[in-house]
Amino acid sequence: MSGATIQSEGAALSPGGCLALLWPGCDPALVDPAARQRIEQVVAGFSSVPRIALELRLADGDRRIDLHQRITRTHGEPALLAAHLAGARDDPIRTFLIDWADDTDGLAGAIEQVFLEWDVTDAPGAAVTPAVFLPVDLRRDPASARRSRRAWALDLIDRLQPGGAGRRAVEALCNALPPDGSISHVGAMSGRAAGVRINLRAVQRGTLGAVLQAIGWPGEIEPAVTWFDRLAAASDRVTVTLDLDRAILSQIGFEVFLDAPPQQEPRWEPLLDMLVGAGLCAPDKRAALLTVSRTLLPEAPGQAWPAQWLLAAAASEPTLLPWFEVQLSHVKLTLGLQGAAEAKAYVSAQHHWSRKSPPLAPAEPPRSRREAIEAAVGFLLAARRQDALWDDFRLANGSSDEWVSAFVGLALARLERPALADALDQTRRAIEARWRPGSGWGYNAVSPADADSTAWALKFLSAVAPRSGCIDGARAFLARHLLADGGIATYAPSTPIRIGGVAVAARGWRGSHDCVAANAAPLLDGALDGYLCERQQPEGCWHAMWWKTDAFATALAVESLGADVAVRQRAIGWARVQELSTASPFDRAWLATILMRGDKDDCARAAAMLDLLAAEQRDDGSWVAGAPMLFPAPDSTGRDPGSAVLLDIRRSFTTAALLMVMGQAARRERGGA
Amino acid sequence: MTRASPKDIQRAIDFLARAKDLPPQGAVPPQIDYAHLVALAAAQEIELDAASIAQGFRLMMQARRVAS
Repeated sequence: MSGATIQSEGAALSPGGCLALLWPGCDPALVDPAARQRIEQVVAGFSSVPRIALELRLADGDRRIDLHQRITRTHGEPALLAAHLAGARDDPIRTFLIDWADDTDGLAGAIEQVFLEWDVTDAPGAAVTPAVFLPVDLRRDPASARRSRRAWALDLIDRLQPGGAGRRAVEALCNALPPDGSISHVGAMSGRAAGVRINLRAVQRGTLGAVLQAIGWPGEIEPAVTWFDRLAAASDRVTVTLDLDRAILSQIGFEVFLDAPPQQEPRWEPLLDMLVGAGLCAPDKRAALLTVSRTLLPEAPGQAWPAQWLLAAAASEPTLLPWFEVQLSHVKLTLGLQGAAEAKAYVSAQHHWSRKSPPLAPAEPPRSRREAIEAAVGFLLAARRQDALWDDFRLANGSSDEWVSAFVGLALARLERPALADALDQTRRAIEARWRPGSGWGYNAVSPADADSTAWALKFLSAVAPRSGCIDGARAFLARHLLADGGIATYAPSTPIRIGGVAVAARGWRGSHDCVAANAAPLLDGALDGYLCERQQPEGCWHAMWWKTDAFATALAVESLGADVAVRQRAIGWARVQELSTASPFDRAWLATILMRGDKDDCARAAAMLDLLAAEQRDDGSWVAGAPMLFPAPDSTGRDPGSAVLLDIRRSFTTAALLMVMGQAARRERGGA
Repeated sequence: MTRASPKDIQRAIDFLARAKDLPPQGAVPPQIDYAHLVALAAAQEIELDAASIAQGFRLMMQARRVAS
């Protein structure tokens, strides 16, 4: 038993602690007592990094379980790995891992983390050498960087499998891959028939067949494409895994991710149902997966924090707090020979240290507005899902993709760039496919259609496909939300609303909402104009029902009623006196768009505000999330200041809002809108 | 684990606050359990049971979270 020094973040923490906290919440249908004992024996031989995952077969009666460990460059983990490997049997993988830990040949800078994978057999200790997975293309790499990283990955394959045939096959695959193909990871699979595994990320729905043809994949394309498209439509993202030996093998895998746990993400259930329906997942395993995710704090009652972790936490800096997380990470579907399919689930169990994060730094050097627009476009395209939709804001009924995609799509469409036409056409098709005939669009597919989401979708479709077959029906649906008081409701009286499976009256959500009126007014031929004018507050703004602040609703109202000089002047007067020092980039952008309609001084001030916002943009092209959505109680008839604020955690909504405003400013400066 | 007395919990917090200085040079085996912790305290001539250590640790972490 080796000693381990107690210190703060670099503390050696037993990965066995992950199992001690995992087991009480893990149904025996997933891991039975005999398997637990075997896993504990194998994990006792891992390095002291408390971050493991179980790979579970989902078929009825299949008890096989494999193990993973992720080692990062943080928390002194490379040194812990090197110390662990010091006495191990020498082989190429061990040598590579020690070199990575010691940063020999600059490996540390290029590889921020490695994934180790053990096939756990019935004989403990038999699986000594793990498979190793390494990152290859970075998500936003330019083509030139990809070339050099791939060349370097090929050399690593040679190094991990000297004399193996994998290098040539991977090289051929890289050469045949379409230019936008991205290899997320390469794996050296020791002790398996296939020597190398390649993971492809961001393959767009509807394009897998072309990719597989281009690389000469020898399997049956149609069933693979059918599964991929179904899975991509049901998830946040799907990674395609290909095995290679002397050539590409006909086995193909799809790793399917949803970014939130089942308690917060309603799509887990239908995704697992799809696997149960195909006979690939036992019902008791499905039920167990839906309840396995949890977060534990060390001070929580009813659990025993592992003794060794306890001592490390007590000895750590007082600013550090440990916590533990079990996650249903993803599921994987593998198609083998003659259409044989297998499903697996990956459950991670990991210890975290948390401390206050430093504020996110803006890009360096600061960007101009023109540069910020380019970077924002790049960020949004990279953030788009494989089904060509965006998602953001997380509620109990999941993230929004229909409403958010219409908004983000509109921001890009208003740039009127031919280079974006293909991407926007894919989004247009995805949005049209989500239309409920005779109705409209909603927050997401599991939420009922509503007036606000439908208004944004109509604006998007009008910009990219004015002859879309959805438009007339959706306009009629929108008009059915007009109320006797002259306003418009988010939800119509006849719309069924269920929360947690229970039907609710939701009287507040069916009342007049000024933020929805401000958005929908241009689509209803003046039907809302009189109401909107009346609802302008004496200070010049409009109060939003669904937003904590009023800048967005006021900017939309001004856009809808722009021709009314008195209304516009009152709104500009309100915008002039708003406190900017505490306002989010989201609110400042909408205030700037109101001021752009004012006099010379207002315009100069708006330009200065937008210049400052451009300089605040983060390196990846996004802005700090700041769209303050509210989730008022269903019966609340006005804005509920006590309701929780939900930010766009993926930053897509804020970034699209700033892109929309900066694009509009650029058009005005060119003499357009 | 049995219920710990306030006095025992305070002793446990004092013991854990000195965790960094525990002999020998802070080296502990990775598979230690609560019995090891009790023995470590005893080696410091501090009489503690597992329940007191667990409760003292919870309060210590709670205090950190409030302060963070």
